[in-house]
Formats: sequence, structure tokens, C-alpha cells
Amino acid sequence: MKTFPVEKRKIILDDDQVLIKKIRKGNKAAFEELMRKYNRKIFNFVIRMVRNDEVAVELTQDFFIKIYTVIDKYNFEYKFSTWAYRICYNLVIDHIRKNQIQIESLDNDTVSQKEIVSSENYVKDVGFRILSDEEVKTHLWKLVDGIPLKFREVILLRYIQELKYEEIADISGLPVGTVKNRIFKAKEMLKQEIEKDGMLT
Amino acid sequence: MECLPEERLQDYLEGGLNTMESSLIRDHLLVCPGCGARQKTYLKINKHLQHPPLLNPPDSIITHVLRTLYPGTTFYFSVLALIAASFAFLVTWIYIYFDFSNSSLIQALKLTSKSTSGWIANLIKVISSVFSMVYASFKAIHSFVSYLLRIELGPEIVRGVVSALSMIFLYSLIHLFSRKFKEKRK
Repeated sequence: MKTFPVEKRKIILDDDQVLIKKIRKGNKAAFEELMRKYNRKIFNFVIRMVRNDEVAVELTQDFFIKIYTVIDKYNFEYKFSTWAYRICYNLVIDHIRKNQIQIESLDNDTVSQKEIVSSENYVKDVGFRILSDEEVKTHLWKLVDGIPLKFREVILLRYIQELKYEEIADISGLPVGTVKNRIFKAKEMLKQEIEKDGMLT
Repeated sequence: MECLPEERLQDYLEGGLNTMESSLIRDHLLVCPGCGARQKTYLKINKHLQHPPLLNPPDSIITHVLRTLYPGTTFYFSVLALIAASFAFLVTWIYIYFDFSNSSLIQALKLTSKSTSGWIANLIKVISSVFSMVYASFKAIHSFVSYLLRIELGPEIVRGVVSALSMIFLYSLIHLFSRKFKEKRK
């Protein structure tokens, strides 16, 4: 019986994966480039999750150090960003679990109870003039900061990291249906809040 | 058709329903002002959630990570650079002092190595070889610059330029080294 040599599957590397190859060879500039690419999104995700500047800086640094130390374990068959976001998500969730008491006390409040994101206060501040798109966007994202963590995290993964439902499910370990429901529920909360002041009308 | 539950309406807006269901909901939205208004609100929420306002992370994040992961590289590089610069500085001054057309220093080193033995002789031979190479480089650069400028550069001009450049170079390296040393001590 004739046997044929098994053909090795060729993987076409994307930009991130080319950088990873270089990082594995000890290229410092490549790692710096990778950090510059992801720094903004990761930092914004973390800061909106933990709601503390100093902690966000520390966790972002820890994330990059972690990425560097486990870079050899990265499998080139998968997208780097999903792998990296999963590491980031786990890091943040671990931190939140360790500091459960403070986070819970923040999340037990409802959106409208928080003075910092109160729509009524916001309307008082800006008066009754028509808000620009940028102002509405900024206000809406302040409201996102106020929703409970389990809803906030999926919104952040969806809109800051720009991930699909399946990717969010992969990162968070939740079923796709749950991810979808949480996103819908989060938007419903936002809708209820902004309807109070007629901000979007 | 009854008014749409929130989740169903959102599913429709995200394109998560089949053609038949979508068609039914589209028809309902045309005749139901309440659901129509909710649809508009969700569309606006979706629009404003896209491209969120992002904060700029502090530069210290990248600096800190690089310093943690590559601690020795910059420090030892600056130490080596300082040693090399000091050596270049020393040779330059010896070269200027002995006049750049005269290789009496090398001759003197060679004679000394002959009159001594053991590792001292070898060390002097190495030093004299390095000096010979540096001398040759200086002569080549000197001749090339003279040729380019179409003038014979006298000892005063060379001394002036070399002194100024050496001082600037050495000062920069000492400054860099002291900064790195302070960072390392922190």
C-alpha cells in the first residue's frame, strides 16, 4: 500500500502573528509595537471594568507582562486578539473577585442612584439645549460605567474590543445566548435611563 | 400582532431573526407608534455605542513594562557606550597631543613591548595595535575631509573641532549613564 507524506498545513500569518514570531526571537521593538497597538483598547476596557485609574494602569501593565511570559504558549491557528483579550478578561475578573466587597458595593446601586452618572444631573448641567452627537455619546458611555458588572463587561467587549457574540462567549466562558441576552438587557437599562431625560428625542 | 418584547425588537435590529419573522416585525413597526419609538431609541443607542470615546493611556505603561521585561539591555548598553566613548576620547586627545601626523606614540609603545616580557608585553602590543588602527582611521578621515573641503586642515582646526565634538559626546554619554544609573537604583 502506497503512503503519501502528510502535507503540513500552511498558516498565513497576520500582522500580529508576524510580530509574535519576532518577539519570540527576542525582538524588543516588535513587543513595543504590539503593546502600542493594543494599549489603548486594553486600558479603556480595564478602566471601565475596575473604575479606578491607578488599578487600571497596574492591570494593563500586568496584562502586557503576562502576555510576554506566556507568548510561547500562543497557538498560531487562533486569532491573537481573542487570545489576548481572554487573558486580559481573566486578569481583570480575578482582580475584581479578590476585591469583591468594593465592587459589589458599587454594583448594588442602580444606574439612576449614582450621582456621577445621573441623567437628571447631566441635563441640569447642560440645560435644555440640543446636545451634540459627541455629548450624547459621552453621556451614554457614562451610563454604561454605571450598569452592573455582568452587563457592563459584555458591552465593553462588544463595543470597545469590537468582538462578535461568539468571540465574547469564547472569552468570558458564557454561552452565546447568555452573552446576547446580557447585551440586550444592558441596552434596555440604558434605554430606560435615557428615556427619563429625553436625551435622545 | 402584539407589541414587541424588548429582546425580540433588539434581535430584529441586530439582524438575528429569519426573513419571515423580520417581515412580520417590519409590518408591525409601520403601524405601531410605541414600538416605532422604541426602535428609534435602540437605533440611536446602537449608533452611539459604536466607536466609544477612548481615553489615552499614560505612556508610563509601556515604559514600565519594557523596563521590567528588558531590564539589563539599556543599562549595560550605556555602560559599554561610556567605556567606548572614554577610550575614544582618550585616544583622540593622545592623537591631538602628539600631533596627528606623528606616530611617535605607537613607536614608543612598540619599543616598550620589546623591552618587556610576559603579559605586560602582550598588553602593550594589544594597546599599540588598537592605537595603530585608530591612528589609521584618523588619518583616513583627516585626508578625506581635507580633500572634500579642498584645504589642508592644520593641527589647530583639527584640535578645535575634535575637542568640541569629544566634549559634547562625552557629556551626553555621562548624562545618559547617570540617568540610567539612577533609574536602576530606583
